[in-house]
Formats: sequence, structure tokens, C-alpha cells
Amino acid sequence: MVSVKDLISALGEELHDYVNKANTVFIFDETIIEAWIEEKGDKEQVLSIFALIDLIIDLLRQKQYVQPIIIPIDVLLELEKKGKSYVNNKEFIDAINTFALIKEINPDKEYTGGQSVSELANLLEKQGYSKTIVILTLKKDRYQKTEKIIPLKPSRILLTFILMNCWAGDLMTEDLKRVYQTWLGKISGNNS
Amino acid sequence: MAKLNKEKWLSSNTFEFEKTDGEFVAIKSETGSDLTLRKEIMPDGSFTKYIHGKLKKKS
Repeated sequence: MVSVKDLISALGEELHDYVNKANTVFIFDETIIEAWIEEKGDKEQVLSIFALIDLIIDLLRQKQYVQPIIIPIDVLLELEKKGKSYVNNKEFIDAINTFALIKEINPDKEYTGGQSVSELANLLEKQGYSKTIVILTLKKDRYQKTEKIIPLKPSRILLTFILMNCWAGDLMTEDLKRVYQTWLGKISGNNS
Repeated sequence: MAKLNKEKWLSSNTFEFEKTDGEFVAIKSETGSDLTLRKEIMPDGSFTKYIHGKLKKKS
């Protein structure tokens, strides 16, 4: 039987600081939206984001606290510029609003998706925001890692998220197990 | 210039950030409630499969 402590150790040192869900905030960039809606990207990453969002929704259904998830409005603007018509679809807007906060970084300035994510993370860090800021992205290399800002791919955060929200809190209900098995059974390879 | 209606997006989400005791927290501006209050949660089952199905019907 593997203990939660063993699992946390297996995640690596960089993840230890934010295993506590109350100390973490997530920012999603446009690569995550594209992976989620269009299944665009590496299969492991796509399935990980499917699983992650399904888990978030199941936790919200159970009225559990979930880390704040922020999406800058410029991320959506960038998707629209790329011709992604779903951005203006009511079903999509309702879906995003179910689990994420849409933030405008600066009403007088238009950023690319990546710039807006970096800008938001930097602003939060400069303002003394006490939580660890996890940028969820398929393009990890375009963000600068700092003590407070940690860019991660979905597969890397998925296990941590489960630990933070489900196993550690004994919340791995039958429904959550089903969600986990639905998507995780299809994922092969490591969690890097 | 992008055509996305920012107001449509931003007004449909009532959450705002406010600074409290040196820390930013997300609150629901209408009520002052914290993040545990969310908009309507979608039907049971896989949310991802649900939204994929909805968007396919529209395309």
C-alpha cells in the first residue's frame, strides 16, 4: 500500500510547497483551452487536462473548495484571432464560467495569450500574493519559473491535484474514481 | 482588432479580486461570498464529454 507521503515524495521537491491546496492558484493559458476543446496536442497532455477539468467539476458538484483558476481575457482574444469560433459560443462561455475566473489584466492594452498569463503571474507576485502561482500550459518553456511562479504541463499537475483535493482529503469517491479511471487508464508514460 | 465581446465575457462572470489582510482573494462581487460559491454546475457525468457534445452540435 503506497502512502500519501510516499506519493508526495515521488512527485519531486518542487511540488512539495503547494501540495496544500489553500496555498495555490492556477492560471490557464490558451494551449490548455485548445487541448481541452480541440484535443490539440500530445495525447497524454490532452487526456490529463480532460481528467483535471472533470475532477474540478466533480469537486465543485460536491461543494468542495477548489483552488482559484484564472484565465486572462487576452487568452480568449488570442483564440478568437486564431479563428476559434467556440470562444463566442454560449455553451463554452458557461462552461468556462463554471470553474474559472476571467480577468482583464489591463483594459488599455492587448496582450498575446502567453504575455497576459506572464503579466498576471508577475503582477500577483509583485503585489505580495501569498499563494504559489501555477501556470498550466503545454508550452512550459515560454514562462519564467520563479520562487512563486511555477509553469507546469497538465500531466505534471494532475497527480498533485488529485493528492491535494481527493486522496489527502479522503475525497476519492466512487464518482471521482470513475473520472480518474476513465481518463487516466488511457494515459501511458511518465508524468514529466 | 479582435471581435470578441469583452463585456459579454467579463459581465457574465461576477467574481472579482479584492485585497484583504495583505492577500488577494477571489470574491463574488454581488454578495461578498468567497470562491466556494460558483455558477450553476453542469449535469452529472464527464463535463469534458458534455461540452464536446454541445459544441459538436453547434458546428
